[in-house]
Amino acid sequence: MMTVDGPSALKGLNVLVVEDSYFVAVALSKQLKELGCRIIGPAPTVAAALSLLEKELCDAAVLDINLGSETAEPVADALVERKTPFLFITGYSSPRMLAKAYGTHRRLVKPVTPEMLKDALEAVMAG
Amino acid sequence: MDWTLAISSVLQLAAAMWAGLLLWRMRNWQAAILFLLFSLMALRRLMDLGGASDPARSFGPIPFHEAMQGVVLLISVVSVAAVGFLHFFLLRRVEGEREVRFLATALADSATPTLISDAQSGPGGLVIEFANDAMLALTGFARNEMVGRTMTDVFGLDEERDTPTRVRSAVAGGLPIVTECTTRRKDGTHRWVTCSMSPIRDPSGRALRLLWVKHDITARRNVEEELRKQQERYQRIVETATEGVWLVDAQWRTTYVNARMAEMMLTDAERMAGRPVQDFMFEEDLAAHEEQKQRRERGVREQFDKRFRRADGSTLWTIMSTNPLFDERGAFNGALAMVTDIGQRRTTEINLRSALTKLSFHMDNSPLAVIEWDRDFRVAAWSSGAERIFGWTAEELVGKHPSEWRIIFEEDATKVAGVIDRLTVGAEPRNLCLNRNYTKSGEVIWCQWYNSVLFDPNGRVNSVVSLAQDVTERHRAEERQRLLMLELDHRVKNNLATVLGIAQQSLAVSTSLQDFASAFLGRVEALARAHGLLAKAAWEGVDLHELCQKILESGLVGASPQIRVNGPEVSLSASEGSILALTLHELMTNAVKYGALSCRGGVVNLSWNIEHSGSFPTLRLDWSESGGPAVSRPARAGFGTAFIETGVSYELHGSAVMDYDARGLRCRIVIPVSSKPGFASYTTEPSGAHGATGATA
Repeated sequence: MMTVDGPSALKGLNVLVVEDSYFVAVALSKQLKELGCRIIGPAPTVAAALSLLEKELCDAAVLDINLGSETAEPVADALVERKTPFLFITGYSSPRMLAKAYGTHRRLVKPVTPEMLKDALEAVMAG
Repeated sequence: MDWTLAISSVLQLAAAMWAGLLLWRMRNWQAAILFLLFSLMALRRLMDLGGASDPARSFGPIPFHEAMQGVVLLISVVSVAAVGFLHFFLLRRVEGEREVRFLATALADSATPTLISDAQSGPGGLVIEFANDAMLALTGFARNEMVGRTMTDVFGLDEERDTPTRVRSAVAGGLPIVTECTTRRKDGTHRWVTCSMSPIRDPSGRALRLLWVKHDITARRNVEEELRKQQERYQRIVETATEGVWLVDAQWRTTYVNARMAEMMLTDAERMAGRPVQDFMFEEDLAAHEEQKQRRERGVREQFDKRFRRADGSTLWTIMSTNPLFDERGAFNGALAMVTDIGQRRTTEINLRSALTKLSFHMDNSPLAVIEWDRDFRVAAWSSGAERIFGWTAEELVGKHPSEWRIIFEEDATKVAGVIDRLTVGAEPRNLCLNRNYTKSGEVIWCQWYNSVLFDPNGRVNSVVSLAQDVTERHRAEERQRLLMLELDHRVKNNLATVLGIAQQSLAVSTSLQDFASAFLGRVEALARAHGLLAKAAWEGVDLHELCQKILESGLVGASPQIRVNGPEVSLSASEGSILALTLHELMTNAVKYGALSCRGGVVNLSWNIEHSGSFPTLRLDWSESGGPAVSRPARAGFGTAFIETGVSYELHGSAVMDYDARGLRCRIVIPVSSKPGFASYTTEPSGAHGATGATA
């Protein structure tokens, strides 16, 4: 089992997970839990994610860009509006599927290791 | 009476009177009176001889001695003869001289330059005796510079070279000799003159003098010379012309052809001269020629193509410019034609026409639109291909600028304008542009444009040619390809993440490495089988029957339980196939380990159907075990249970419910089968061919 040692700045953080793949969502949630985060979701669709955003307090978010028949862009828009930091996780090596505004946004490419996730999340939390 | 003396006296009287009268007539009065006195003396003497006897009183000739009387008689006879001679020869001469003087006086004021010279050449030539003012004006000499000098001195040796001959013939022939020659002036220049020379004769016909009359014809000669030169120039032009010149008379016979014309006919001018023009034509052209002749005779001048038969029988194609000619009375007098050999031009023309026909044929047959724009970027040509692609006809568009009709898709207008600009300012001699266009029906199509520009020598745009290809289909296919590549990338990465997730979760619930290995490998294998089917169907969908067969047969080891599969044909998407494959794998593994397939007599019924109640068709799948050991809910949810109860609903947005009925495990799965464009299709068929399938080991 891979864990990340040391005190985490991410402890107690409420993190929304948006990911359409069940196994990836479970693994991602597990990694975040090990970083001390509380998981909101995971949500497999935009509708589910937006609904969770309405109901739950959310400090950060991890978004899979491609949700099968849709992209996570509407969720990103909602997060930008709320000034909630977030990062993308994607299977794509190119950012073409994203709108230009998110072309340079922080992205992690699958598969994601716990270290990558920790560094990236800390970076977006730092602003 | 002395008779001898008397006769002498009579003769003396006659001679003196004859001479006196002659001199009188010659108006030599003094000599005439003298001779008349002599004759009186002779008369007196004669009278003395007849009557007087006193010779002493006589004052006449002293009586001669008898012996001298014969001599006196002889002298008297000679005197009469001498006077007679003088009368007949000298008087004529004198009369001639008088005539000469008279002529000179008459000619002195004449406007015709005239001079009189000797008739016989002296040692230095003919001496000039008279020249009138007009002659002095013509030659520039003063009178004393001419008169008394020889013709040779005055006019030079050159001019007088053949004078003796001319003089002789003039004197002998009696007719004036007229020549056209130059005459030297005092200042050394020459004038052209006609020189007429005629002898002046005395009454006996003897040439006394030569009369030279010169007419200044320099002006005329100059005009003539100029005309001659001009004619020479014209002749040279005609002879060296690159065009043929053909002149015919009123009977259409050749009167003249220039060298070029003869050369064009492969013959020479001499052989053509005098021959009728129809000799140089083909039989079948004669009717047309007759018509042309009539038009010419009516005075029509015109230009037309005409062919001739050359000397070797070959054809000469020409363009003729013909002019009829008329005489001063207005009668047809022949015709003049300028003839241009257009054989080469005609061949070129035919080749060009054929090339253009071919080009236009291929242009119109091309699937490409061929559009030519003029210097103002207005449509100059619009091919059939262009009409096929865009819908507009050439008639609708020729002369129009692209801004005048709706062809450029608004979002691409700036890009297209840039491409046109770079072309027409000469920045690029050719360029490409992929942009959207409207068709006449308003449809938007993708077009690949290939443009090229031609400039004239002044650097202005001559024309722009655009080839356009409708690449809408290709563009769609490329877009689809691009999305497929992205999708593939996504799936590979997702699959790896899924495998990773399965590994992690399998590990979490495994009691030993062997336990983990068989569980993990079984799951990955199930995924692999689903992918195998997907790949076989070119990622377009997985048949549920096939999927069931693949998954279920893999789980049967050794035993021969019964599995009944029943349902309509359903095509599943990639993710649906993968999730259902894993689900079936988990159910199968569980049934083999603990359920209906763990003992003899156990049966699994797998059935499904499609419902069309909501907005999407719904797949209802039912896994039902019977005849196996008693079932109870496990104390701890394993990988399979967790996956089926949460994974199916999570990924497929439906529900999966496990029912741990004591008589046998049941699992009901309800999932919407929504259409995902491009990557999966869902077909539903009422149960038929595939209705009930018995899958057995």
